[in-house]
Amino acid sequence: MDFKKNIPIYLQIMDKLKQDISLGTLKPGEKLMSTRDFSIKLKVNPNTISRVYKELEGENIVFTKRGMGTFVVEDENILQNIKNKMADDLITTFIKDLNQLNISIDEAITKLKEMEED
Amino acid sequence: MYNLIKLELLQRKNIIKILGIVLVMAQLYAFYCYYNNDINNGIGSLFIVGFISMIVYTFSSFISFSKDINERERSMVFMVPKTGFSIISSKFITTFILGSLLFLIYIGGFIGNVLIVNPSLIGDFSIEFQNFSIKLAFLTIISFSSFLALVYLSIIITKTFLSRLKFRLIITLVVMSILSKIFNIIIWNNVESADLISSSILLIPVIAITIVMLWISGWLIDNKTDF
Amino acid sequence: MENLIISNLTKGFFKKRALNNFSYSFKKGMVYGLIGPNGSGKTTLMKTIYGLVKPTHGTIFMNGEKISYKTRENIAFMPTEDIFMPDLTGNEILNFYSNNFSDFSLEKANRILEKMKLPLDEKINTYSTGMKMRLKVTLCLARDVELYMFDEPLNGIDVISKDLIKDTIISMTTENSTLIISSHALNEMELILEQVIFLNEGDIIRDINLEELRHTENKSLESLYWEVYNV
Repeated sequence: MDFKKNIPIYLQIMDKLKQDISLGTLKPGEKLMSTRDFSIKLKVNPNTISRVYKELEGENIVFTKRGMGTFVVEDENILQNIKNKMADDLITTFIKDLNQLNISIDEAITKLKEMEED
Repeated sequence: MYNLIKLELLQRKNIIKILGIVLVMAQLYAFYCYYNNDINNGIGSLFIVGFISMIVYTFSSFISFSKDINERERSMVFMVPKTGFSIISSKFITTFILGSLLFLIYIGGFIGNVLIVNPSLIGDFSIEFQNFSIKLAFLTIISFSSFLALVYLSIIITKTFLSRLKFRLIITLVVMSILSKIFNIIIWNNVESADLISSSILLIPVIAITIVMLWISGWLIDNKTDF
Repeated sequence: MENLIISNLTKGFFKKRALNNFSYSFKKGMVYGLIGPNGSGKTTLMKTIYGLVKPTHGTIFMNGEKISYKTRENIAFMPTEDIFMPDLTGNEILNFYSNNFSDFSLEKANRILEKMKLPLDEKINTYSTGMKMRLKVTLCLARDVELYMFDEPLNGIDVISKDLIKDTIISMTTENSTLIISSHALNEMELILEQVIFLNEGDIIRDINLEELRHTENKSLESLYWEVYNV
């Protein structure tokens, strides 16, 4: 995984995990890699991974069982929520960018439809 | 301590090999001379080779120690969790033991060769002569150790306080002579008789001073010297 | 929990100070970076913590104990200079470390060195600079202590060994160990470091948490470096 070094690393890893979950690469109930193994794989500080897991647990996306590890939650609803939230975030950013370029939403919708046909 | 001494011995592999070969070759040459009835040459060359070996060993010890202290490239031993006194003592003990061994081999070998050449001389080695030579050997060894500790201390003092000056060797020699003057004053002030050989009581302050010098060296390494 | 406390550490006199009233408290379990140009005091600081350099003023306490030869039993230091006697073999050096440091794991050292393919039976004077560095790093990695200090651990090392060293450093980051790493290779170490201290001429000029830096200022370590040293 390539990281942008001017954005918090833990946020980038969180986004990547959320993406994996909404894509189905990480299934509900699946066990995530241990903090240590994951940090070696990504070549980051283990405390960063700890923070990722902690924050995700705060968002109820994963849970930690002591001595057993960290798991994706089983609840399908929650996972659907992640997908929705990510879509919302994407669209919010998109709208913000449009505003900056002075493009109206209608113009954008027309463009999107054009591109979809391609 | 044992581990430190092991390291010191490992470092001296080369000089031990060289001296060993030189002594063996000298002995062979001596035998060759005896065979050709040229006794003077044989004994004489043994004497010269032995004498030079002692000097070479002494100087190589000093140079080796100086490198250990002054060159970063050999500073590994100062990384251990042991006191400076242990480290210095290990170097001292190794040099002392090897030097004494070399000296005794030289003396023993020399006497042995003399007896081989002229076995009748055994009678000449009277008890007095034996006592005298043992005392002399002992005294030589103690003086050498004391001198060794003095050199060590001078090298360390030079590195600790005077490292910014140039001509390190000369500075070290100056420090050495100052130190030896100080110690001489301390010893000789307390002794009337200058009869070296018979008053073995003199050895005690010399040994004491040697240990003090080693202790000071260790203290400097722990508290003042930068590596 | 702060286990390494440095107060008013000074080395040198007048204008020629390698360290100038350096004060800092290092916390357990964190990875610190020491950044600065050559001569800024990084090596002097590490050597003083290890006890190789003696302070002119100031104190250093490790777990409440003053720095001495004894504290070396709980501190591992990888110096950037050559420290090995040229006539010794790699194995002789390993055995020396094993015999003198009770926490040294000969097994771990051999495991790492095997992957690095170092000829341990050969004398050090046959080793290249990179090989010597690899041996030095491994001697530090094979110890089991509370404080590890690496002075330029990736200097002159090939890509594969660099990876191995980084991985080992990452796996050694636990709650019980503190790491202090000085490096010029900012982009290599950036993701491993948590808190970075910028030094210049013996003074701390910045002390920053990297994730916070990214969060509040959107900067990377490298861009901060350019900014700090006005390059």
